[in-house]
Amino acid sequence: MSIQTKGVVMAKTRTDTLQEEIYESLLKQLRENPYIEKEQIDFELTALHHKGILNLTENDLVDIESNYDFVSHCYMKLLDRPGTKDEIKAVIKQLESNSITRKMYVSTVLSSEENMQKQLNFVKIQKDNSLI
Amino acid sequence: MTTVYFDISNLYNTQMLTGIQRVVRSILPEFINRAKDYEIKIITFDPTANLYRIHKKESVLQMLKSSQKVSLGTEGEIGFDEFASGDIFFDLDSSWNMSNKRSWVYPILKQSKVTIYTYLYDLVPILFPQHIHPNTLRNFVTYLAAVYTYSDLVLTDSRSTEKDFLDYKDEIGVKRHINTLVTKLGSDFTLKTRNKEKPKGLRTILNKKYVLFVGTLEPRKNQRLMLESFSKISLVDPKICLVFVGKHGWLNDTFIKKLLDHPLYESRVFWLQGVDDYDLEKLYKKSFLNVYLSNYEGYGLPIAEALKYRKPIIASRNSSMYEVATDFADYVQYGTPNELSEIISLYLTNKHYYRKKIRKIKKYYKDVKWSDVFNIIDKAILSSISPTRTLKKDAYQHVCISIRPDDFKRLVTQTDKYVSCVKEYIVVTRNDLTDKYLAIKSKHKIIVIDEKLVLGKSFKDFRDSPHQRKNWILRAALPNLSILDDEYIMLDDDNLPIKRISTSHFTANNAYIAYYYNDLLDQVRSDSSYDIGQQHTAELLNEHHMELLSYSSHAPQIINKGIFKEMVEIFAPHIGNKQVDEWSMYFNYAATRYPTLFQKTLYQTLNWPPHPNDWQLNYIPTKYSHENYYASLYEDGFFKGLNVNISLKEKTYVKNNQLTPHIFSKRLMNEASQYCADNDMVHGLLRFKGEKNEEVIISNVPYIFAATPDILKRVKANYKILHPEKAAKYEILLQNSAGMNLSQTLADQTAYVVGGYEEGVIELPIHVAVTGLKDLNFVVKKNGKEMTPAHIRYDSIVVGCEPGVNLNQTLASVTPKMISEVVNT
Repeated sequence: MSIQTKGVVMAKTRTDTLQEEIYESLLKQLRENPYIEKEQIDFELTALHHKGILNLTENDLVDIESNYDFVSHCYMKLLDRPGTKDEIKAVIKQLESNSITRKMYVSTVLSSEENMQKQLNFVKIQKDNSLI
Repeated sequence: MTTVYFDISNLYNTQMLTGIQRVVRSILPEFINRAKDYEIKIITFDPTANLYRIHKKESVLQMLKSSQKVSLGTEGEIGFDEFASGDIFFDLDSSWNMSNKRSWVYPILKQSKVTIYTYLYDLVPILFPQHIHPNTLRNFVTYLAAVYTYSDLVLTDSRSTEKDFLDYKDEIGVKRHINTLVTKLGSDFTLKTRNKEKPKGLRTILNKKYVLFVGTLEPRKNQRLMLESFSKISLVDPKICLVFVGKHGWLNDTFIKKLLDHPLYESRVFWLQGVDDYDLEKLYKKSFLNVYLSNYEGYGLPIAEALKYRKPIIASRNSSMYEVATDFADYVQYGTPNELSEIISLYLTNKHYYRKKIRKIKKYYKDVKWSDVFNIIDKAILSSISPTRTLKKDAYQHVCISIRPDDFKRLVTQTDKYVSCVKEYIVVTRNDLTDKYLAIKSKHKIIVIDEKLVLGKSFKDFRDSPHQRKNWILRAALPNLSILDDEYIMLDDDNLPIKRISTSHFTANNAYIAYYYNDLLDQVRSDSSYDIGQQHTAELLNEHHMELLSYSSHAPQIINKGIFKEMVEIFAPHIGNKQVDEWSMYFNYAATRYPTLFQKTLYQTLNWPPHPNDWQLNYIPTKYSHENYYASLYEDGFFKGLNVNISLKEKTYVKNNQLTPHIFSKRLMNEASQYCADNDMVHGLLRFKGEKNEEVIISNVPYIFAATPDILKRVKANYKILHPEKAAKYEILLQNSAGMNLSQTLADQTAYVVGGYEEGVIELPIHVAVTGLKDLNFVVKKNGKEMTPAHIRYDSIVVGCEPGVNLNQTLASVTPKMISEVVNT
């Protein structure tokens, strides 16, 4: 499992709450924007918006309430891209039919070719760094 | 020593050459090579170790100038919680795309008391989400929330971006004050990239006469308008070609297909991709004309680049574009093909105009270099790392220049009543008035100083100067008075407080509050001493890459004597005998040089302007602390019959009643402008010939104006006079059958004079007495005598609408076709 709480662990402060409030306000404003095709954009859940590669845990994902948010956040957070409608729909179907669990799905994404490629790119950068 | 960290992970991972990455590549070498009083560390994020790698500067420099992938040498590492208190973390790159999200990184840095600087290039993802990839939008929202929560200084490339950032902050309810600094962007190619492969057809294009449009081909950049207009333009000059330079952008397939299917594609219309800096430079140098018609920009670098190569440019007049090119460019104000094709045609058919325009650019345009941008940021860093000043005084000297004892007496009475932070009054006046000032009673000491003593040798210059220059000379000399404290309140004798004022009105968060009321570049152009001063101040500050707000807010403001002196020393040699506004000179200098020590704040002055008709209201105070006292307003103005001592609440009520129709009228005119833009209903050029070879040309005039009855509306347009006669008076007259008959003199006060040619911005005075549609005819006069229009006559329509009425309802009975017929008959 390559996602876990790493780096600095911090207690939630008043400023963090402020950041969440500001994030919410921004989302509200954007949701009212008539030019945005809401169905095409998945914004991150407020509770997770400040979580990234450094501080995201498996439970952060697994504990998400709806299946849709869970799957879309797996794409956004782990692969750093939004999932397509069809991709998300297919996974939800599998989850609803109990053919996979959420934990299994997280493992699948982490061991996917796409994620491997992403990891490889990082490794390549590090390798480059160590050459000089 | 303070360390400034630059995280370039995104640049390193993408190795892109244009856009924000180009900015990073251009400015970073300046920091690496020139920063002296603080240490620079360039870092990239290592996701496998969860820390930052610190890189060798030589290898960073090598990477920055290479268009190929270059590896970075590492000389150390630093964990997220290892940054030291007082260090600066400077986000210059597109950090919203990075995996180490700012929403997580910034709080950790703040816990270590690290100062966070963020460079914000634009708010495109938020303001134009329809043009943005969903992934970028998603990341940008998270990033922006972190910036609004944690950034200590937000740097922007234009006032327009700064205003968007602050307006959006207010819109989403962020209460925290955030310091901002406008730096502009450089236009010199400091590190030129070179591609091995040359774009197909480049050599052929360079030998042609062409209009150049540089920018990613995406809907926001509006290449569509240029391509559509080219069908008409291509007939004016059979040799003229059109060249687009830029990569294929997102969501633009329809336009790309149109471009590739254009009948003149690859014969007179060209599209080049993958152009390196060497070839781009060649393309600019050999261009006949440049265009940049974007619907919104954070800055608009291609405009600055075209001007750097001393080439004429036509730009759209929205967002930041006027800031970049000011009066050196021509503008398409409403984004219509008619405006664009006629102004390009003028360049193609009138060699005199083309030559004069280039001459003006060559003589006066001063391009911003990356070294200038570094100088601005470097000083901002130095000011924020220098020992903190503690601004904690209980009372300040109130320093006034006055030759009106009665007004000063009123000021003292009111100030004594409302202001709790007066230490003493110092009034500088004429010697013969001394006794009158000394006779004024106050609970504070009044010190009277003879202006001759303050001025010394400058007295003769002072005596013979117009009003605005007098103010500059005297106030510039004030800091030399030893009696003056290091900080004092500067005010005029008509700046009456109308509510309780304490030190918190002048300082907050250990910073000076600077009250602005307008954008200097948007001030009225007239021949009044004040307006001439505003224009010269704008030109002078702009040449020195300073911010450009207007601070003569007609209310008391706090001055730091040392910083005022600094400003005078730097600018006095450049001012000569020009008129300038001392308030704007000081505060723009101070806010640029010490951005964390000055808190730019919207003014709170009642009756500035004295009447809302006096200029276009870009900013309206949300609350009032002072009144710019005009006796005439109480005698026969909007406050007629009221006592000057009525409560603030009552005054605010009266003022709001006065402003309401003006605010409605502004909204109405915006709707009319949009209507004209949507329906291509803007005049091309209004041309008037004189008896000799002189010609007056007015551009950016819409077919429809809208206003509330009895409200004077000012609508900006541009004018040029080719072969003007010396000392002749040119004026435009707007008249209609309903009795509207207003004129405006064409008299720009720019210091940028080119013989045989004049140009400037004009504000067309629009007034309607009744509701409904009325005709509007434009006449140009020279010395009172009508000039001959090139067309039979030039007409528009003015629509009068009562507040609450929708413009479209009023226009419902007419179609755009009918309006066009009226205007063009």
